[in-house]
Amino acid sequence: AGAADALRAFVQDAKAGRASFTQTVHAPNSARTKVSTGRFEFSRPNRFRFEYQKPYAQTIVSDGEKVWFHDPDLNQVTVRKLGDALGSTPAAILAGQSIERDFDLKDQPDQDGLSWVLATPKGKEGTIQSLRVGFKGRSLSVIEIADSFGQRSVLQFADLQILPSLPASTFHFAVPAGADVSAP
Amino acid sequence: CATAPSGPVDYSGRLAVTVAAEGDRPAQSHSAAFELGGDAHQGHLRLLSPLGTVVADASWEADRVRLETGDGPRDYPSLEALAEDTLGQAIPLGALLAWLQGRPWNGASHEADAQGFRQLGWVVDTHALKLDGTLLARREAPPVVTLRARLDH
Repeated sequence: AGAADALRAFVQDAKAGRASFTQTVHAPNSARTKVSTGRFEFSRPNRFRFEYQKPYAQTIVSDGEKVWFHDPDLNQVTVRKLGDALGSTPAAILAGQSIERDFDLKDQPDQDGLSWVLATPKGKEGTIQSLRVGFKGRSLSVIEIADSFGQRSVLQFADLQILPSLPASTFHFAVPAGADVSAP
Repeated sequence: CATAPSGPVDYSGRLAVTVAAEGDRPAQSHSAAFELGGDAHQGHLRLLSPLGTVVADASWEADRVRLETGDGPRDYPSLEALAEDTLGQAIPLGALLAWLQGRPWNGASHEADAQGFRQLGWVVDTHALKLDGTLLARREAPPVVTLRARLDH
């Protein structure tokens, strides 16, 4: 128990860090799952870099102002204002600063050797219904995302390193030559 | 909970749509992973974020198309009307189902060309579909719309 406190402490104390992740998406009423792996880095406030490597490369970078999404296979770069893009995504847990303002937190029973907290977004936009965050002691281990379509995405972290800071250049996105860049 | 029926998935992959700037409207681009099942008469298209969460879910039959997003369901008379409302351009989503299989849609005339065919004012390049699952379609009439799809293996 006490995962809500572990989450508050994580948001408070983990100023920056990096880890590798495995993402497993479970579709509702079907055995279909989709597994992706990659690495991510974060630095509060609002800076993160998610690099999906398998089964294909995709990069999502926020420098705190804008969010770049790059898909090399489609040769496409999309740029959005950060605004409330953090919203109720795992990035809000990793790079946000106001977990209590954005989520209602409720401790849940221990399971699979982890302590869990249910984080329900206070804002109603988007399709994410809730996040379940799992801790091994004080160490962030899993984030489960449930959306209003019954889709469940499980992000398991490994080699999590908490750092005092990361250079801003880590969260700079260099647009590859010839990529099609569009910003609405 | 707006759980739409998620029938058999025939195609999944990634889709990027870019609409060129026109007048004072800037260029737009949208990209998402997708899951597609059924055909032009009955089917469903699901758009997903990189995190795997559903961004939008469209299901259609006969002359009714229902779109579910985070803020409640909306109905449209056709897939093209749905594309017009959400992307600002009447992209022939019904024809796209056939294009992704490397063939023209049987609902309109077409002319073959070296890389694929021309249909509904679009140049459809299907030559790389068998190589790496890439489809490139481009609407020539301004504002130029480019649609890139990459099917999962």
